[in-house]
Amino acid sequence: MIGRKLLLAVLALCLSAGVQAADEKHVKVVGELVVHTGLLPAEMILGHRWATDMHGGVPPGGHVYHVLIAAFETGTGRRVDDLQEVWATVVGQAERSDRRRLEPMAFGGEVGYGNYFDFPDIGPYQVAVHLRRRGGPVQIVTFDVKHVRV
Amino acid sequence: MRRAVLKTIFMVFAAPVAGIGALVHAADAEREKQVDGMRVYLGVLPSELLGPKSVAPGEHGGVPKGRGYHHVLITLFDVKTGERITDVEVSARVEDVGRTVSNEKRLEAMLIARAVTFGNFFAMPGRDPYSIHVKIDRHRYGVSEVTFHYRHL
Repeated sequence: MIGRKLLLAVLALCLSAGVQAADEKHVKVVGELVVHTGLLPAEMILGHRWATDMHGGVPPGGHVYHVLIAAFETGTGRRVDDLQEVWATVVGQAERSDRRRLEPMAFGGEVGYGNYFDFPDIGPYQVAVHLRRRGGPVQIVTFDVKHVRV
Repeated sequence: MRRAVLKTIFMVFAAPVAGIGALVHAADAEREKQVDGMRVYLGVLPSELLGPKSVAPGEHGGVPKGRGYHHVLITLFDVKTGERITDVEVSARVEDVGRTVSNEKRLEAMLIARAVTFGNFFAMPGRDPYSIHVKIDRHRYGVSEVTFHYRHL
């Protein structure tokens, strides 16, 4: 009886931890900023046939995503829309890296920062975001992204 | 008794792990589909990226409180012309495979970088595979349906 209760308790703990870890993968805290990230297929913004030079054009490749970030103050929860520098470096398993400036952009009436990156290979990637507020130090936050494909 | 406990431990931990391995290969992230002359693109963003300003009061039922909410976004293009399709009504329901199915929700038109997309919030807290069933009403051209297999990147 005690064994069964212990088993259920351990199982509940494991399931709880798994959901929490998954839930928080896209959000990191660095200094006084909470940084959220997300990815959209590039076509959603650029169109079915790419014909724009937004963000200086897109990298070649068939698996280009628009990497988005939004930053918030930890204390107030206020969205930060005055970042002076935002860069992202995407590194895949092949050790190739692509570094681009994340430019301010509007999505859904809010200000975020984004640019296009190619994720050519199946597998894990690291997205390292460098960001700096006016007069503040450069902060670096890294997100793990896994590119999966059918 | 001891054997029964060990068997239970195996059933609780080992069997699901084996099942997860199979699901990883079976269900994966799909970003585009083609149906009835339309190219349909799927994007899923954490709800925090799209704050209160992105949603008019009452729209989408407001920005949901709590963790694990995501914004499911759909963009449509005409395969022949490449033009973005905007004069449609889009709805979706999200199925956490083998667990729960959301209500069907209307995806509201919204702008992302000046591009029209359709979106709404859904609870997608885990890394489970999801099926996202999308219904597109093109009025006189009829209703099209497409399903994406998705998991968080």
